[in-house]
Amino acid sequence: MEPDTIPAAVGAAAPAPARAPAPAPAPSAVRLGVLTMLPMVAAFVPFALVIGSAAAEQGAPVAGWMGSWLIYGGSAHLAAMRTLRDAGPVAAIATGLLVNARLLVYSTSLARRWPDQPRWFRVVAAALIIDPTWVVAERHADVEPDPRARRRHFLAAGITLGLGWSAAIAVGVLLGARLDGLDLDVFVPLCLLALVGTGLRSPGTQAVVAVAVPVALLTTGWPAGTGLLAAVGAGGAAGVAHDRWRAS
Amino acid sequence: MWIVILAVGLGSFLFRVVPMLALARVTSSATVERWIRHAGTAAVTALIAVSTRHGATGRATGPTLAAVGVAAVVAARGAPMGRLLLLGGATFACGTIAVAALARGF
Repeated sequence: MEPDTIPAAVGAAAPAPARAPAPAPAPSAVRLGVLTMLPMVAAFVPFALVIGSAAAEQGAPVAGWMGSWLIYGGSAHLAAMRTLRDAGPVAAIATGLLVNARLLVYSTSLARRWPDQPRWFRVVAAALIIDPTWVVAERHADVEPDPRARRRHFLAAGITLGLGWSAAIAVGVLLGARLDGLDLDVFVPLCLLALVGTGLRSPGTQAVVAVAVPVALLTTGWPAGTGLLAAVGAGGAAGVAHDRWRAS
Repeated sequence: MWIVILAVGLGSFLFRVVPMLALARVTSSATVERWIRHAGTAAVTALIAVSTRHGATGRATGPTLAAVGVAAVVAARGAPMGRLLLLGGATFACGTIAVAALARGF
């Protein structure tokens, strides 16, 4: 899977030469972004409720809710709060950062996709990068070469997710301990599985999964978050090795 | 709590924005480009494994593993997210009821 290249004529700011009028991409890109993300928002509600409930249990509902926008990553948010309860603030900060270190990969990947995007967009979009928006942006970039349409699609998708995520965490905070009877933790892996989706049928993805999963499980005893990074590195290397093997 | 949220939030934003601003036009080898793409998938996959292990404790072990297994099959078949969650959640609920029933001596 090679990164696509954006034709200069499409990516340039200058108006294109005379050609058949095409439908304006902007409204459809926004609508598509919202519609693509809405099912994911619904799917991530149980995960958000878990986080909101955990924040309420720790007696810091406002700070916990603010994390929905400031951290904007459920796994790191939850891991940081649980570590704070068990091991104190320094360990909690380190854990949250290590879990979110995978964002370096997502951001680097999307930076390659958006070389012609304006600086303001890259700064704003950066705040919205997380697993679902990365998946959606990668898929959309495969089929949409127009930078403006990509921009509008990503912002629509990212803001939709952010609003839904934040609202669901707020509900979790309000419900608090009343959610204790519900075992919602299982929805965390289910939501993430939905992001990988049909990619599981791809041999390249299967190679990545076959390495990343055992490494992640074998390194759970490592300092918090470091095992995740080891799995990311090993899984990426497995994917590269698979590509080379297929090419040879 | 506030200091943790602010510190993790600031660090996370730097993880997001630095590559976006610094690496957009940096060229690298095809191998590195491929690794970046695969590493994203590896990150999501590793999170699935870790979160499954976290949830699969005590009586929830069997139901959690069954739910994730069903969801993986459904996801590979291209089912929409709602159906995946419905089937995974239903599997977990049925598994939990079955385990509870077994524990009571049925």
